[in-house]
Amino acid sequence: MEPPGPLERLPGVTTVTELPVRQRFDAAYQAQFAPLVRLAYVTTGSMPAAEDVVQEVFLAAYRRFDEIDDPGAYLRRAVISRCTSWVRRRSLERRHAGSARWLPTDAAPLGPDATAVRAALARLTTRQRAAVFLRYYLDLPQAEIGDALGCRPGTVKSLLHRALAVLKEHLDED
Amino acid sequence: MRTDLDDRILRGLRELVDAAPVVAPPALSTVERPRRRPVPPRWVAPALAAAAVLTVLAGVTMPGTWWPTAAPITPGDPARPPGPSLPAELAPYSRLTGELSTAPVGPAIMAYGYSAEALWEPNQSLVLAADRPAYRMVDLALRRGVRNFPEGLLPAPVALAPDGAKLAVAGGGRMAVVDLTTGGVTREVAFDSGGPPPPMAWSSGGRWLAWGVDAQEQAIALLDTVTGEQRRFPVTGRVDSLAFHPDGQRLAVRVSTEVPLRILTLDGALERTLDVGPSAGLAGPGAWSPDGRRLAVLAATKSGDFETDSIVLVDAVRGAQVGSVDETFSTARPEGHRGQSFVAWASPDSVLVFRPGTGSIVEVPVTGGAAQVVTRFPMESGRQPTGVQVAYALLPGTAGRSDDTAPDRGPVPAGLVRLGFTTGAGGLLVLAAGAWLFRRRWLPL
Repeated sequence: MEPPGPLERLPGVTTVTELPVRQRFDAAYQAQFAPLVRLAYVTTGSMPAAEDVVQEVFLAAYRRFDEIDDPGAYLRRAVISRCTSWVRRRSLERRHAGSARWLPTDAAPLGPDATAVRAALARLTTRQRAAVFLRYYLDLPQAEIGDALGCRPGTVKSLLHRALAVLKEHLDED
Repeated sequence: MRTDLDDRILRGLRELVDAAPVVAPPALSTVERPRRRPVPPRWVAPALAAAAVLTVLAGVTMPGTWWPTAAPITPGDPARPPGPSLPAELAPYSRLTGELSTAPVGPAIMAYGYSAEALWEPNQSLVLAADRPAYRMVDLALRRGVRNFPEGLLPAPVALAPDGAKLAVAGGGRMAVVDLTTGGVTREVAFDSGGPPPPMAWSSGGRWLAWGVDAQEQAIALLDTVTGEQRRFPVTGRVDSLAFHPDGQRLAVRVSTEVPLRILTLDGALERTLDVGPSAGLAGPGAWSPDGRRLAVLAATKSGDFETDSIVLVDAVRGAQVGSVDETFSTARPEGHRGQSFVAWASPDSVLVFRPGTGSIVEVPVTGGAAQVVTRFPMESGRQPTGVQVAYALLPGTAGRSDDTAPDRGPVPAGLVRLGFTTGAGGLLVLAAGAWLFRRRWLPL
């Protein structure tokens, strides 16, 4: 058996050690768009606002995506931050324009639990709503919820505790 | 553990959220190409670094310039309150006490030290201004002190002139005379400071300074602080204590190998001896009463295994005991240790004594009567006042002052300013570097 010759590099073959930025971004977009819109929807109470917020977040993240280590956590933080700002602006507008409904007017009829949850969410703050969504819908641990909200796990506990009290009140009414 | 409530919340939330379907576009259409974060101009980093270095250098090379320093007090200053006074209570120990050399306070009514037990608290040597509650550290005494274990830095011994205008500092191989009006050294002579703290005494007018020499020879040294003339008289033993007569022309001296006191003229001639009893020494450099008729001496008496000291008054001519101070210093100490409770004569008929147990300086009538507290040190655990001296020529007519005035401690000592600058600048550099590294890895929108 002949001894192996020197290693030859074949032309046209690139050893891939890391996906290009654009490919990673597209993968994150596909995986995270829907959950993030739902998060924004629950937080703002408006689907058009949720879609706008998430699009803006992805556009802004695209510019510096190569520097982001954990896209999921980063995007959740960014969405919650923009939703909070949106709700704050909306509150000011409502003072002048009158209150708006929590859900789109053409929403399909909901079951009793969903109706109770909707009524409870309307009474919660932006951060409480986000905490409820991350805890129940995405089933995230407290540490990740705290990372998304930019607070300590102890604060997350407190937010959830108050939110649960309101939810319980509405659900017990049924 | 999931509860029924949790299940209902999850059910309701899912139904609510899924009621509004989300459809993601196939790909995000971007019109912008990814671009790098804007890079700060190239001159920013070097400029910040240069600013940090300059800040550190400023702190190291320009001590005291960030705080105003007190101007020296000059006689006739209209802002100067009339007459000397002592506060009802002296200020507590503080490291933030300014330095005498950079912020003098004029004549002093007291000089004393603080002995601190904690390793991080340095021992101190301090003066208190005669006309206001201004305190300064005798930084010369600290620079010329001796490092000892476990006591730490022991400041060089000092002696306050009776008129409060000058302070002698014996250390670093030199006997220095500090003018308390300017904070500067006006006279300095060679001094062998290798042994124990030498006894020192000033004449009442503050012209002559005398001290005991115990090195290659044993002698009494005299310095005329006006002309600079020096004199030296050999003695047969170590000088234990000495005190000037109120006329400034004679010295009472106790030599360790002799029992009687010697009364010497300033030429060194022996005027007479004075037998005041065994194992006695002069109570302090201000042992002579203002009228020259009495001397305060420490009469040691043995009690069991200990010697106890009591302040005894003797006739300055005959040596006979003519009285004792009611406030006896009865702390039992191992043989060889003597107390320093006598401070000075407050008047021809009363003496000041320092009670370490209560931290108070008390005026005791020698003819009988109740003692009165003149001033007191705050009682602080682990900090003991030492070497209490009073400018006794200022005492007659000294009025106490109320203690509702915050003490003037002068500018922060230069050493602490430098330490603060270096630590602060170093901390800022670390924070800036940490923030830069942190931002490189995580950027919130």
